[in-house]
Parts: sequence; C-alpha cells; structure tokens
Amino acid sequence: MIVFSSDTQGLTAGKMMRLIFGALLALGLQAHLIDRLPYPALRVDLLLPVMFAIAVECSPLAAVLWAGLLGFVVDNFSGEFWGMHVGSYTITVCLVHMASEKFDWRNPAYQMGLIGVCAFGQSLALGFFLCFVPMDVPEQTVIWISLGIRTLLSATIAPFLIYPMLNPRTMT
Amino acid sequence: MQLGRLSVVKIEVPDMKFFSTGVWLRRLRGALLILVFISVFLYIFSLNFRTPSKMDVLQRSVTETVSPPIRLFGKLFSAFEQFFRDYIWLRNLRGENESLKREIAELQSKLTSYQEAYVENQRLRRLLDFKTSSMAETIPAQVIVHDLTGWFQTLMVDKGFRDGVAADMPVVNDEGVIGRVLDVSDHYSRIVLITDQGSAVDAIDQRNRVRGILRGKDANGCLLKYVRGNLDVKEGDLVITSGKDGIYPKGLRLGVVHAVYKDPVDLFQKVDVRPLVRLSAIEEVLIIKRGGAGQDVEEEEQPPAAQPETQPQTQTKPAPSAQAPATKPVTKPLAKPLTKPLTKPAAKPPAQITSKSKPQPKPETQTNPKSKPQGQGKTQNRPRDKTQPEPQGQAKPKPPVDAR
Repeated sequence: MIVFSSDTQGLTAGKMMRLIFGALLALGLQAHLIDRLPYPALRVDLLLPVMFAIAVECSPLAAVLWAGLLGFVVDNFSGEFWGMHVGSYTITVCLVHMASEKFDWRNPAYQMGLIGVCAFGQSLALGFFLCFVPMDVPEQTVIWISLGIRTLLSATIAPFLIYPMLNPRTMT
Repeated sequence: MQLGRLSVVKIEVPDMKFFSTGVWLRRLRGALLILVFISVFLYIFSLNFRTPSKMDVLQRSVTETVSPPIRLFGKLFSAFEQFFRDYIWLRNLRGENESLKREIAELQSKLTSYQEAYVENQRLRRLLDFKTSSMAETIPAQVIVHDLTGWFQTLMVDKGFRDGVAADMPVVNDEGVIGRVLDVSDHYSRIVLITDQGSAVDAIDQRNRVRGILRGKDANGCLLKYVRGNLDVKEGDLVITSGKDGIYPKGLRLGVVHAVYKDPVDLFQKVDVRPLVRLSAIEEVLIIKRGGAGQDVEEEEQPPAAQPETQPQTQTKPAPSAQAPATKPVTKPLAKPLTKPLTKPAAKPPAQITSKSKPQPKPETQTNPKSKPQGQGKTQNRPRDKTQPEPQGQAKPKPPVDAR
C-alpha cells in the first residue's frame, strides 16, 4: 500500500514553488505550443498530468483547490464549456487520491492508465459538446477519431510530465 | 433496580459521545466543504448560460493576473521560434525568394489594373455624387492567447472595456472578419471567432446576394446555412456580411465558398465556406466600435424588391436570401477583391471596408433600378461592376501557413 500522506503534510516552500513553476510552464506550453499544432488530435491537455503530480504532492484538500484554480484558469481562457476543466481536474485529483492506495503510483503504466481514463472522460465530454451542433457523419467521425488519438497521446506523455514535477524524496 | 438503572446509564454514554460537539463540528465541516465545492462548481457551470457582457470579478481577476505571465511566456516562445526560423530553417530561403519574385511581378501587373479601376471608380463617384458613409472608429488590439485547449475557437486580446471595448463589437483585420467580442475585462477581451460553433453571422453571397446564416463548423471553416436548394451558389463566391444582424457592418469579407452540396430531398443546400482570415495565425486585430455597425444596419433598410429568377413562382414566403433586390446589388461590391497586392497602391482602393477608411458608394445610385424590369436574367442580378473586379475568378487567398 502506498502512503504518501506523510509527504503531503509538509508542503514546503520549495515544493510549492516547484508545483507553481510546473503548472505555469504547462499553462504556457498549452497556450503557445499546443494551440498551434496543426492537427486537432495533437491538442492534448498538459495539465492533466500536472494534476496527477499535484495530487501526489499535496493533501486532498489542497489538491482539489489546485484543481479548481487551474481548471478555472483554463476554462476562463477557453471561454466555452465552463466547468469542463474544473470538473475533469477535480475528478483527476480525487481519482489519484482514491486509487493510489491500491496501486503503485510510481509505476508509469499506472500513471498512463489513470491519465488515460481521465483524458478519455474529458474527450468524451468535449466530443459531446462539439457534436452539439448538428453535423455530418464524416465530420463527427473525424472529431471522435481526433479525440481518441488525443486521449492516447495524453496517456503516453503523462509520465514525462509527472516525473519532473515530483519531489525526488517522494519518489524514493 | 438501582443496578439496572446504572447499567442503562452506562450504555447511553457512547451514544452521548456520538452526539458530542466535536463530532458534529467535524461532520459540519465536511458538509460545508462539500457544499462549498458544489456551489463553486454550480457557479462555474452557470457561466455557460450567461449573456455576453462584462466579465465578473472572478473572471476578471483570473484574466488580469494570468494574462501577463502567459504573454511573457509567449514572447519568450516567439523569440525562441524566431531564432529557429532565422538561423536554422534558412535552407528554403532561396527557393522562397525566387517564388516571391515571381509573385511580385505577377502582382504588380494586377496592381496596375487595380489602380486603373480605382481612378475610374473615383471619377464615377464624383460624377454620380455618391453619398459617403462615415468612417467607423476602430480599436487596434494584439492577440494574447488563443484558446488554451485548442478545441474552441476563441482568443484573448489586450484591450478591455477601459479601452472602450464592449461585448458584441465586431473584430476584423485587413483580410476580413475575425469574429466578435464575447466579453470584456479591464484590459483584456475574449473574442469568439466566426469559426466557432456558437457564432452566427448574417451573410450574403456577394455575387448574387443570396442570404444565409454563416455558422462556425470547425477551425478550418464555416457553413452558410438556410440557403435554399434552388438558389445559385457557386464555389469561389465571396461571402460578405449583410449588416442585418445588428453586430457586423455591411460588406465585411467573411470567406469564400469552398464547396456546395445539394441534396434533392433537402430544402436547404449545404454551403461550405472557408474564412479569408487565417484565424490560427492572427496577431493583431481591429475592433470596430459599435457606432459603425448600427449605422450600417439602418442604411440597409430597403424597400422590397424583385426576387431573383432562380426563385420559383409558387413560393409564397420569400426566404431571406431572396430579399436581395435584383437591382440593388449590381454594384455594391463593398468587399475588396480577393487578391490582395503585396505592395499597397499609393492611393488605397475604396473597398477597404474593414476599417471603413474610404467612403462607400450607395447601391441605389450605382444603377438605375427602374431601367431593369423584374425577373431579369440571372446574369443581370450579378454584381458586375467595371470599377471592381468580380471576386470569382480572382486569385484565391493564400492557403494558411499551418494546416489548422
């Protein structure tokens, strides 16, 4: 059983700075890199893995607050489908806290799996929102395929974003 | 009995602990937390159903706080990108230089003809004593960030209500319409692009004034909806704003008809429109102040006129697109030609309506409506003007740099 509650109790200034820097970096990359990608399928949500790292490093309450704040920032800059990011990030941190007692959160496969599940839920919500406007079957198919690839990509890149944000002491 | 009573008291002690203050406070705290979370989420979810207006305090504080670091990051990122473009990707420069030289030579010849047309237009305008439309005031703004997720068609610009921006102001650039202001903060505004699914613009086909509603489809295009199947819309037609939606002034260029799909069993045809503006690569925009928009809407009030020939006589209720008078359009090609010369002419052609910097001709004076009977041929309904090259057949806008 993995217990990271002892680590999460002492949220030091260094750890906090690391999380803030990581979140801002992810936000900046999301704003200036992901948005410019030519294919919709490549537009992954970099903040989902960041949420995983935050959930590991912080207490449940702090993690939920982080999720709410970052989710609101992303929702605010999207300007549409308010609540999707707040909801998905909150669910992510809750899932991490609930499932980490049964799984080894250090395992990349588990990280990819959990982020994949969250990204799948997010893509599902996004897909239904985008398909709210009536469109043809081919267009809908393209959207759903793009969202599927996005889910897989989100899961694949998750460990690469989670590990740099984690405290090395927590990892051992 | 005494013993029995004592034992009863002993049994009740744990129950009293159950109702003790500490436990209740803990439970109350948990319930309060849940209540707070639900309230916060309901507030955020309720933002989906708000009317476009000024952002609330929370949105404004987040926007004003987070935008500067994101902007700074963007500048750093651009500098990094520029470095790569300048020093790493030089290998294509020679070929690009050659093609640009060819393009300049081609465009210079077109420019000559445009200047000729402009001079002729000025002369005719003076001759016919056209009324000049007033110049709309615009607010230049810089794009801070596109939608963070890349899945919605919105962007944030660095001008807010302190700069005079208000909700529902049209946003354009020199290529055409970009969108409208969704809501504003102190120094920032959120723009919803015409390609967003929630966007709708009252539009007309410039060639034959067929009217429809331009709805956003995806990042690459829009759909001109509610165009009846029997109306003549062709690939390459220029779609412009009609000015009747109360937001966009008349005559702003929206896009080019990319494809037309006619279904014999469907009442409407499906018209795929590609925006003229490269929406994924916008850096600067112009926000048109509301005064100009309202004025154009008022100018649009026209008496009912003849329907195009393509309309069946059996129709009892004319569609909006059919409202286009046979006489009116012949020549108010307000939108400038699709081909934009690289080198600007000394005197800018009057069709630069995005900033309304030049007076616009009134359609009634450009043609004599009485001289043309109703039900004329289709070709007579088309906006043929000597002074303005017809958009169809002109060079199409350059494809976007990125495929988005």
